[in-house]
Amino acid sequence: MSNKILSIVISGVGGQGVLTLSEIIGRALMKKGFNVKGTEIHGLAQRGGSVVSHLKAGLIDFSPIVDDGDANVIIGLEALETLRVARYMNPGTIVLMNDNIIQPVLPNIRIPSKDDIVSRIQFITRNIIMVDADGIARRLKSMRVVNTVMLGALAGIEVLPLSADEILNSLKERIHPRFHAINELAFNEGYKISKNAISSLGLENKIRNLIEPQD
Amino acid sequence: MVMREEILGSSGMKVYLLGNEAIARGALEASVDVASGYPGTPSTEVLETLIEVSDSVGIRATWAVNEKVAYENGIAASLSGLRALVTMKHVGLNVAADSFVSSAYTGVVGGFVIVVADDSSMHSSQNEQDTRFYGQLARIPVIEPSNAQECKDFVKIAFDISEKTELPVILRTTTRVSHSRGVVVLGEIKKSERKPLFNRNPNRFQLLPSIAKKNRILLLERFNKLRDLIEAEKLIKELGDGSKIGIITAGAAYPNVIEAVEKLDLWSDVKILKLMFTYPLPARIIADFIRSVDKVLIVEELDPVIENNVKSIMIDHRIMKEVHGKDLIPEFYELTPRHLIIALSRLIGMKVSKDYSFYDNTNYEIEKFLPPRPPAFCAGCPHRSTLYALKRALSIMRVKYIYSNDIGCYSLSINPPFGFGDVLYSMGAGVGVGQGLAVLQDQFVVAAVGDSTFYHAAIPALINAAYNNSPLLVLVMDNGVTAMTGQQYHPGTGVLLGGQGIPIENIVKSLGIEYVTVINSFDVKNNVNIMRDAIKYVLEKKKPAVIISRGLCALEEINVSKLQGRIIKPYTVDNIKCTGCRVCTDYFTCPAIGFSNNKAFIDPLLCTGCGSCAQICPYRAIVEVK
Repeated sequence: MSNKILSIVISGVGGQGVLTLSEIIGRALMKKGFNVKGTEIHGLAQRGGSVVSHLKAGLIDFSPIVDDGDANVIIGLEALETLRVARYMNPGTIVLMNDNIIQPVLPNIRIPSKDDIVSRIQFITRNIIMVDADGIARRLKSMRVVNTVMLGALAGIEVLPLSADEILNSLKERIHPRFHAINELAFNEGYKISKNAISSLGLENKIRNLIEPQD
Repeated sequence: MVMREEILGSSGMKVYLLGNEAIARGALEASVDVASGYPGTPSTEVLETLIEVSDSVGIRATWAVNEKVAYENGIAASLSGLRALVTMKHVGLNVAADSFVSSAYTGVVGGFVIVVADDSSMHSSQNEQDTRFYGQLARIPVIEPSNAQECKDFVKIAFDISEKTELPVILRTTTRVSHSRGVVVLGEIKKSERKPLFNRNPNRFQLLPSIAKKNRILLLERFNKLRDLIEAEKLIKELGDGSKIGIITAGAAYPNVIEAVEKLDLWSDVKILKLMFTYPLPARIIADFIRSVDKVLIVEELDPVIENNVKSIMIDHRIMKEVHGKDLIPEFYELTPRHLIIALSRLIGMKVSKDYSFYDNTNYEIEKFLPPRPPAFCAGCPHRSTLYALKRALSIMRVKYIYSNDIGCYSLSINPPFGFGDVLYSMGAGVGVGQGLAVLQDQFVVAAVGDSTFYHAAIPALINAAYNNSPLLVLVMDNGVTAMTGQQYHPGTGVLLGGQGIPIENIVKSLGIEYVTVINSFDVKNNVNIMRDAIKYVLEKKKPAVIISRGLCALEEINVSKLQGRIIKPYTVDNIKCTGCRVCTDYFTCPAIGFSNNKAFIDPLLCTGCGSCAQICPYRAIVEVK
């Protein structure tokens, strides 16, 4: 019996699909027999503000909220928003970051450089994997698959007690069959990037099987 | 797609539901007949889900004009012998309060459950009031689920208790319960066999003073029966068998307690009493529990409601023990594991294992470094165009003004570049406070209000403005839906009438207000002149003027054009004409307009083709894509 809790924080900008991503991962974990909780701030989520989803899985009961420094994985759908959730990171956290900045809709603001963002994250954790999800989505001619690329990237680091197929199936259940092919392409691209990155970071064995599935 | 299947899933199925969706499913399993409410975060999804499936399960589920009328829909259903569920956010209960308090005096016939969602941390609200006080005020029981499964299960218990005691029951959630997904094992959906039948009983249902006097006594009798029932049916859960600390908790606070006890490995030290009903409390159960432990910690989100009542139970039962609560647990904002880890560590005399100040400092530094990202008007939002025109008109005329704001997407006018907003209180208060200011001040007053808010609570305020001849400009920003909570229908939409709704301008004109103009929100250039004219009218004639700025919510526009197979024609920037003056990015701030290499550009995927930016560009550099 393990009392460990897997904690994932997903951040992005309203409209990027943060909530959908969280739901897809949550459903897959539920099917595997875990207690799962996912929570986010709605209401203003569609209006271009910051959106954060907390997702936790385990065999015991737990708060839906991820405690400071507790995230095993951070999925950032946008660079500024990835740094904004730094309080949940610890030196072992794996950060999957979409290498893209969406400018906040405010006049006369200063946008930090990507290098500045990355170095501030690296101050807390060196395990940062950059994914050009926007570039991949643009090549596939559908900006709506940005979050699918990041889902593939999550599958590629293999920290979840889920196979890539199980994650992909959970995605397919959530979307219209018409969009299965393009999403699978996007998923595979993300998967490849993080799988390569994880071996170069030498993380393969450190982070697997944080929690064991229930019988 | 997934949602509908899951909400209507068969018994035994394991689904991943939002707390609010689970409440809706619970209502179906409890064979609810009638559901009504007014949208408000974090309560909205309960009724939204029920409306979505209402046809297939044969229930009547409708959005009402406001929470008070929704509540009265519930009373009507209950008096007809039907099971009624009414939904609202915490501040919505203020609107419904008049009928709510009195409904306990008549008691209910069919089971009556009021879902009230408190917004701890005020993620989308103007205050953080604790609904449990309303339970105490009205002698109406309050049941509090702590996760999605309980959301579903407690609805059934609430209906059951309501019918056994003839009292309405509040099912109170807080944000983290309503807006968390969790694993829910479904029960069976029961179809109602009830037929609406109103049995006349004027000596009970007419709250004339003489009848209210008798009913007051009957209410207290019902309430005593309720106390006994909660005690007898043991509507609680006990965990652990430690005796050092007895933790009394409920609702959203509970899973935080469990996580902290796990992490600190305290199961041998603590015992937990989880309450189902947080008002009234099961006094004997609580007294026995307290007697079995060394000290007591009461953990609840927001105000010390359980705590104060537990302390009074201890006095009644002559128990002297060390009791902690709000001395260790904050009485503001939502609880997180951190609060419990700190409180329990202190109480047990351990060092707090985590240096939370490190995370606070990290967060502080990063927030200083990052540009803020407040919610913004969507690309193609009609409000931006309306407010731009107003800002232009006011600055051309050099008019000093007070801007009385109201509640809706347009509240975001406070953010740059508009900076509109001097006061903001509650639904309808934009006109209410505005018309009050206008008769007292020499300054020009603009009162903003949305369409759904207009019907909800602004009409009486506008009548007062007309009756007092208050010199103010009322700006009704009519985007055709209750936009902020997710584009729900309202009386202006005509959804329930199968066509034309109730036009705002007809209501305004009927009040005798002479200056009433309807404008197209996206006709920015003309609108500047119309606003100037209206401002002049108010200043010179010292009378109210109303401008209704009409333009469909951009998100609804996208939905509608998809349904109709209409293709949105985006605009683009002519790179030769664009001088990089930044009027579009700094004074209009549409998310679809970006800036790079000293030129503006338009993201064709975000642009909804509203055409407003083309009108404000001083160099006519923005044109429709050919």
